Parts: sequence; structure tokens; C-alpha cells
Amino acid sequence: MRGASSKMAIWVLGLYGLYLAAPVYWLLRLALQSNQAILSGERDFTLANFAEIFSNPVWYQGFANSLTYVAINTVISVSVALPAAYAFSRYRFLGDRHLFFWLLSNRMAPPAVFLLPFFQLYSAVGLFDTPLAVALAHCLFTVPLSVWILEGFMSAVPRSLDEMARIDGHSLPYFFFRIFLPTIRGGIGVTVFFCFMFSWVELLLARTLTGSEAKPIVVVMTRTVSASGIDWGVLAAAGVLTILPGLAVVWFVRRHLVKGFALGRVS
Amino acid sequence: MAEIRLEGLTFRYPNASEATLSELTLAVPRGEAHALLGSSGAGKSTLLNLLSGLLPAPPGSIFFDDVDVGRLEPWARKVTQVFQFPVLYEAMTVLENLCFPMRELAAGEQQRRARDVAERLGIHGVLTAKPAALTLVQKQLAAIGKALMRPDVSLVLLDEPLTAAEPGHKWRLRQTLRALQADLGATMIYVTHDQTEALTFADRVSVLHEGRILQTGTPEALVDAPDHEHVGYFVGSPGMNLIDGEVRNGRALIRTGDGGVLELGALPVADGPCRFGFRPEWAVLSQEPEGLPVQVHATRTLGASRGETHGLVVAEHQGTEIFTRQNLAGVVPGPARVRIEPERLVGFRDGWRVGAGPAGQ
Repeated sequence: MRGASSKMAIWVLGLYGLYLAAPVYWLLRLALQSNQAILSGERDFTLANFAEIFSNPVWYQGFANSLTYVAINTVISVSVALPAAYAFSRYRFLGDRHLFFWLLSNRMAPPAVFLLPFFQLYSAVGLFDTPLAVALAHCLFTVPLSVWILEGFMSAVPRSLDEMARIDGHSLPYFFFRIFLPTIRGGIGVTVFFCFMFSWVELLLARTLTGSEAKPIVVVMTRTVSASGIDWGVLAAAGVLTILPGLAVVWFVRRHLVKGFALGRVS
Repeated sequence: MAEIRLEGLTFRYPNASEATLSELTLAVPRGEAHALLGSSGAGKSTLLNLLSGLLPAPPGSIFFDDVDVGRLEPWARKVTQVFQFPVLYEAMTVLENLCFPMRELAAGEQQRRARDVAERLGIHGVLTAKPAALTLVQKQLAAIGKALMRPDVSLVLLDEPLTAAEPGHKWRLRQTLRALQADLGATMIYVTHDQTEALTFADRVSVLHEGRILQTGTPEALVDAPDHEHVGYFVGSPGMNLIDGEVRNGRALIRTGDGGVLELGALPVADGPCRFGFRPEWAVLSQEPEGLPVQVHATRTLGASRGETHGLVVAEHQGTEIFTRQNLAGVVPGPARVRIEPERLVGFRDGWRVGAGPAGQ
């Protein structure tokens, strides 16, 4: 009975894995073929599509722009959210619960709601078409999310750690940076992961708030239609490269992700 | 090491209507192992935080060696603390954790002291490990070690430190802790709600109840002459039996169900209503017609020696539960009499033992 059900489980999981992997496989296959081969159905193998991306400034600038604003966004979100989450987790102040919920309710609004005000605001102060503009706009969503996640992790750390540090004669900054942050590094990893993922895949704000200078990769990908039709091969190669940073982030925080989710949620 | 003195310590949390601690007065001499015993909500944690300095105390209420420390930070008071669940710095190894409070000593001396204490606590094998690799008990031992490390420590506070330990280990850990305390001559205040822990660990015990210290004394004094009904009831397992009666001409009398009067013993106090207390150990079921009439309900075996079972007899006298601790041979449910050692009887009025209490009744 057990053998049968575990065999069943393997089948179900295998099919699901196949379902998830198929598009990625297809993308990789397209990326390694020339446009003619794709359209005619011939067999072919070429790295020319990747060469095109790494030699054409429109493409590699797109990647650079995206990585820039994602990095800025992640750094701002985590560094702002850490003290905020600590305050929510450790101090009781007037309206703390309401404020905390209000933070989360920010996440309920679709990004499109903020398009117009952001566009006008950034145009007015000359931030339009810079990576910083996109990074700041994304902060509106990633900061509440980060505070929310980090608060969970911090509240899982017993308050006696703070008290112990005080009894040991540590100042609050020393305690926070040298003792507390290492203790919740799993949570920071998870937060970085979520900030990265949001900012990396977000399209609407990134497209509206940039022109030609700071055009992100997701936008470049939507503009590959040229006079000669769609350049399928290069588009697929760009898609493959777009998956890679996400994979890298998951790889670096994978240990913390599993441990982190368990700490912040289950126990 | 320091002598710790509380002088009329009263503490009220901001926005609280009632004081959490009121008029606590206590002197703990240097090198004493002192236990604070109380149920949850008695104010133990608040008192602990006031002693450690996590909460500021009103001026003139807490003295370490005649220095008013009420407004000093914990580090300046030179206190260390062991928490209920182990607290260690995760990023450091056990050895680094142990050495941390000794940062004013030379490195070699730090290591020597740390290894010495670690060996006594039985954690010398895990000194180079990170806390995450330790078991819960090992972590707590390391936390205890850390609290004992500081060379100029004035007071070591322990907040129910053995909660994490299995019952079987508790005894041994307590003995280790006690031996270390004696060797280092450390002044220790051990907070617990477990009366066995308090009585077996401490030189003296203070019983805290609803923000007041009801009694401070040796474990023997708490057992033999509890100053307050609550102490009698809280100390001991099970606690003191209490029955209502009256004192007339120095004789302790209770009414029996059939309208008669029974003398339990002599009690040289003024006449009037009185509540009599006796410990289960001081009473035994008897076949003689004298003694307190009870209805035996059940027995609880606690152990055996020389082929005879010993344990508790659960009985009832006019709706009051009465326990005796005795040989269980021949004890059967049904009516019986309880003979109480007459000279050990304790009398209470308004909660306080006659002759004790705040008013010196």
C-alpha cells in the first residue's frame, strides 16, 4: 500500500516537474537556434543569439539597467525595513498594530494605481528615466513586504537575547549589528529573495518610468519586433539570461530559504 | 561578590493601577544561594528585572554593598543572568561566548577560566562548536557557564534555569550549580516556582506572593514554621493541611461532625478562632478512637522501602481534603482517624502564623 502510494507520488511529482520544465527547455532550445532554423523547422546549433546580446548595447544595457535598479531597490528595502521591523517587533507604541496592518494594505493596491503620480513626480524632479526612479517606485511595494517578513523572523528571536546583551554591557547598535543581525540572517536572506523577485519581474512601473536611457531588460524584450519580423532566437536567448539572476539568488539563499521559512512561519 | 539589600522596594508599572511589588525588604549576605519562590504572577520576573537593572528601580530601594544601584545599567551593577531558555550569541563559538564577559582579562587567563568551568559543567567537549550544534541542555549549561565567568560579578541571577532540562537531569544539574556556587562564593538569586528546586538549592528561600515577601528563611523554617498559610500550602508536596478550629485556654480544639469537641494539641496563644496547620508528614492514620475523624478516599504510592509501600493517603474531614504521608500497609478506604503530632501543630489567624506576620501579632 505504502509502496503504491509513494510510486504514485513520484509519478505526480514527475509530471508536475515536466510541466514546469517544458517551457524552460523550449526556451533554451530556441535560444540555441538561428532564426531561419526556428522558422523553417531545420536542425541547427548556434551561440550567435547570445553573442548578439553581449555585443549589442541595447541588450546588455538592458540587463545592466535592470540589475542596477533591482540592487538599489533591495539595498534600500532591507536597510529601511530592518530598523522598522525591529521597532514593530520589540516596542509597543501608540497605533503600532494599525500602522503594521496599514503597511501590508499598501501591498493590496495594484502597481498601476501609482503609475500616474509616480510619472508626474519623477518628471518634475528629473528622476525620470533613471534606475533610481524604478528602484524607489518598487520600494513602495518591497519595503512593506520586507518589514512584514523581517518582523516575523525578529519576533521569533526571544526578547531575552536583547536583555542578555544589555546585561553584557552592549550598546544597542553593537547588539543590533553584531549579535541580532547574524541571528536572523536567514530572514534577511528570505527578504532579499522576495525584494529581488518582485523588482526583477515587475514590468509596468519599470516600463513607464524609463525612456531610452534606463530601459530595463523586460522592456527591451517586448520591443524586439523589427522590420524583418520578430527575432525569435535572440528573444529566447534574452529570456534564458533573464532566468539566470533569479536562479543565482535562489542558489545563494537556498539554505536560508528552507530554514528561514520554517523559522518565520511554522514555529 | 556583594551583599544585596532591598529596602522597602515598591514598584508599579506605568499605567498599572496596582503596585506589582510592594514594600519588599530583604538582605542577602555575600556568597549566599538565595531562592525566590512564587507562583506565576507573584512578581518574580519584575523583581528579577529590577535586580538586574533591565527595569530602573526607585532610588533608595536596592543596594549592592551599600551602593544604591537603582538607576545603574546592568553592566555597571556587575550582574549576570541565566534565562529560562538558553541565550547564547549564535555567531560565536561556545568558548567565545564563555570568554565574552571576561573581556577585561588577558586572553590566556580567559581561556583557562572558561575551560575550567566548562569542565565542571561537562561541556568541555563542545567548546569549539557553535551554539546551534548543541542540545538544549548543553546550551543552557553554556549559558550558566557564561553567567559565572565575569571575574568581578556582584550577583548571579537565575530565572528558572532548569526549565529546559529533563526531570531526571535536574537534580544533578542543581548539584553541579550548587557546587560551583560554593566554590566561587557567588551571591546567587535563583527564581523558581518549583518548591523542590528552591528548597534543595538554596541556603535561604523567600516566598513571594502577590507582590509581597511572605517569609524569608531556611528551607527547614519554611517547612516547620511557615509564617503564612500560603507558605505552608505552597511549600511541600502536597502542602500543609489546614482545618478551622478554635483555641481555648491554650488548647487547640476543633468541632467534630457529631457536635463533640476534639483536642488536637496544645497551642500557647490567645483564645479565639484559629486555623490549624499540619504537614502530611506529621500525621498518620491510627486505629485508636482519638484523633481527627476522616473518610479515606484513596492512596497514592510514592515509593517503597524494606518491602513496604509508602505514599500519600487522600482523606477528607468535613469537606476539607487531608493528606497524610505514611506507610500504606493496611490502609483501606473508609472511615478512619488521623493522629497528628501535637507539638508540631501550627496556628494561623488572618492568614499569618500566630506570633509571626507583619504586625507581629
